Amino acid sequence: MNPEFKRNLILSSTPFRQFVLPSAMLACIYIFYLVNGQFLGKGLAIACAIVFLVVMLLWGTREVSDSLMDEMVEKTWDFQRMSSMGAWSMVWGKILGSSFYVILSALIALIAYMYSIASIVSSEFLIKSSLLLLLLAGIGLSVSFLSTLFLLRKNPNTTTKLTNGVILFLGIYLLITIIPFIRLEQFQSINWYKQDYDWLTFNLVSALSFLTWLLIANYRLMRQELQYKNSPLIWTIFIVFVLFYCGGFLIPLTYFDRGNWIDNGEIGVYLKVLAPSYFFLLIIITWFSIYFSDNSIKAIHRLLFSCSKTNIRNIWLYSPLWLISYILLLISGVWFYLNSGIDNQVGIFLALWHVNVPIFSIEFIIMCLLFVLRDILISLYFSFKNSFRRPDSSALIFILLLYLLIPTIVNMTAGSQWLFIFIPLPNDVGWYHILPVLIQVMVMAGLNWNYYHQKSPQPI
Amino acid sequence: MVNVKNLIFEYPGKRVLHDISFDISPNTICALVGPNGAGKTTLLRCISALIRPYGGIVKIDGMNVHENPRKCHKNIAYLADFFGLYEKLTVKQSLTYMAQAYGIEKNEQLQAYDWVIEQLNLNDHINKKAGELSRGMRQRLGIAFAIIHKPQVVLLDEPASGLDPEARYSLSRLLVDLKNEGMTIIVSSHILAELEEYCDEMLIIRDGKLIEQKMGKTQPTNKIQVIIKAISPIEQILDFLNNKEIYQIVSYDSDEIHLELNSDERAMSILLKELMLNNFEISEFYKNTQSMQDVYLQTVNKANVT
Repeated sequence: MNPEFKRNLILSSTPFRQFVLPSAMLACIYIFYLVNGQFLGKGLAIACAIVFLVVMLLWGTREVSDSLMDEMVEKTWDFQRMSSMGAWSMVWGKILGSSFYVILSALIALIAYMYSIASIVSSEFLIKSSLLLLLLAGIGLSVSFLSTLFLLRKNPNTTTKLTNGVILFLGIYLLITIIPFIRLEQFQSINWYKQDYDWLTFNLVSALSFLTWLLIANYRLMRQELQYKNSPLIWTIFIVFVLFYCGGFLIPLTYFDRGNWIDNGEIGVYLKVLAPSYFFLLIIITWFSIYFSDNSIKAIHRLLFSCSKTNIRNIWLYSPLWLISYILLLISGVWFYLNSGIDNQVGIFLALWHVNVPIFSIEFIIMCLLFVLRDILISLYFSFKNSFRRPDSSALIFILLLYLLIPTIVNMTAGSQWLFIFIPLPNDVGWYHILPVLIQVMVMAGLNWNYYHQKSPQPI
Repeated sequence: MVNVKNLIFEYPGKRVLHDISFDISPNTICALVGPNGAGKTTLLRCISALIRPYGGIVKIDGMNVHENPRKCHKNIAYLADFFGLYEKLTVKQSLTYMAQAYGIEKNEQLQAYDWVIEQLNLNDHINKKAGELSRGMRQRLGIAFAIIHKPQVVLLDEPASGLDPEARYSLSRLLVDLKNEGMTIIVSSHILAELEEYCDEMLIIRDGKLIEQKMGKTQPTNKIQVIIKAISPIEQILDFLNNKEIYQIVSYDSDEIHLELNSDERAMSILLKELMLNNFEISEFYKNTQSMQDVYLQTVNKANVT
């Protein structure tokens, strides 16, 4: 048996978890049964589903998060890192071992859910909805583990604030996920790549996909913690997956009134139609990847040193995630430009806000690329400069000020004609609009280069 | 056994290890000494592949630890200066867990468990929870955690800190026993007097730089330092000694002379005889054995001057 699973199981086997929690769960379900007029059926099923998710996502996630936090607080982490356990064994051993009794208790609610609607729904619905609940719980536990490990790696002194943050995040997540169960009978079909799919089946497959990605992310982050090198290949595949997955929803928004020729379903047509959506999605992904990357001088030095030696393998291994994302963004920018001649090309966000922008210009695309590059350089600057306790958060606040506060002040005092200095505007963009952001990029690049040379070691 | 070459490590904004290189022979105990903040802990963590250096190579038994961290961990034990135990698990449960975590074969786990219990004298405590153990026993259990897989290299960071004299003595015995089992041990410590008892080598590190790698007390030497304390005027004794070529006066003050003899201990007895024959009133006459602390201080002082 996986020793980590076994150890966590021993540690979590308190009388409270073994006896009190299942008893309380049974009592709770019985009360719901009484409140429901001693009838099985939809009312009881919804209550049981909610209880299952609440227990798993609020309690189980906390157990998982604590299993990692305790290692740090009790200073036993080094023993585990020195052991021969593989990354995957550590991941699943901790997740399932620490939350084992919570899962057992929550399963009582799940069984009650299945029993209460068994006679009123099809067996297919029963199995699929139960599986979906299980997958959602699995996603919750995996998110808890991933965020805890990620934040602990960023700042090993993170304590209860982190756990509270994770639980708050999952609480919001919980509310979103249980809404469809509250409306048990009103499942609508989902339109994806112009095809209608059954709501339950689609969400089941989606949940399974995202749980798989989360487990891969947990495994890879644990590998990094165990000093293995991770190549960015999986990140690249993940980006392609996100583009593919989100693309299915964005087609109607992107081309909502031009359904005739898209129904042909050719991949080339989809790729052309989705060019702006891919571009904007990649901007968001690149921003996120800045936060997920190691932006220390050490990491950048390793990359630059590998470049100077033209060591392709190391260049690939040491490439930060934002670099991979930005390269894909550049490619999508070119693709976007090549397909910008198609009329009625409305970007997803502009479409949501009903802004009528017929065609994006090359200048606008370049402006977007430069603004993202500037943000990367700002984040690097904050990481290089050691005076910030939390460089990522500080950089994020600074970037938000640049995009929100300063443009608002400028707009109120000097008018909207100067906004292009701070945000990329799609309307009436000329080449001279690129100059301010280009200067910002050059200034940030200069500052970073200066810091890099001050603080990086001589090539080794 | 342990080869470190051009090791560089930096924390943000501060270089902690500067181009450190050294080799440690198999089956030795090496003391890693230096003031607080010298980089001892960072060096040990780099060797144990818990942190990745900026540059340089660390090899254990010919294998690059940063290329194969997990493989190397089968051959390395590391005990941090501030380590924790699984407080709610008993000694037996903890050690069984560690045996499994280190991937020891199922049929060998019991053997490993018995060996480590025996080595660390934990027999009377196997059913106690780790949280109930005394400081000394916790230290033993920590070492047991680290070495249960019988590694080739053991890295101990300040293992004696906070221990009472009895526990320190048994720790030193344990390290010698482990060495006799064929292990190579690197111990970082401030307590040089204790290290002297069992260390074969000494690495002196300061401000992240390796000042010197010295052999310990087992290294044979050709020179003997003698200290003479006298009631007779020192100047007269100095005049007498200056006429003899086999002695070299190292230093002197109002009541004490330090001499160096390029010979064996027989020369000492000849010197004493001559002094007595010349009616010098000698109150003390003894060989100055250089302690590890003296070696350390001399080396550090020399480094300060240069």
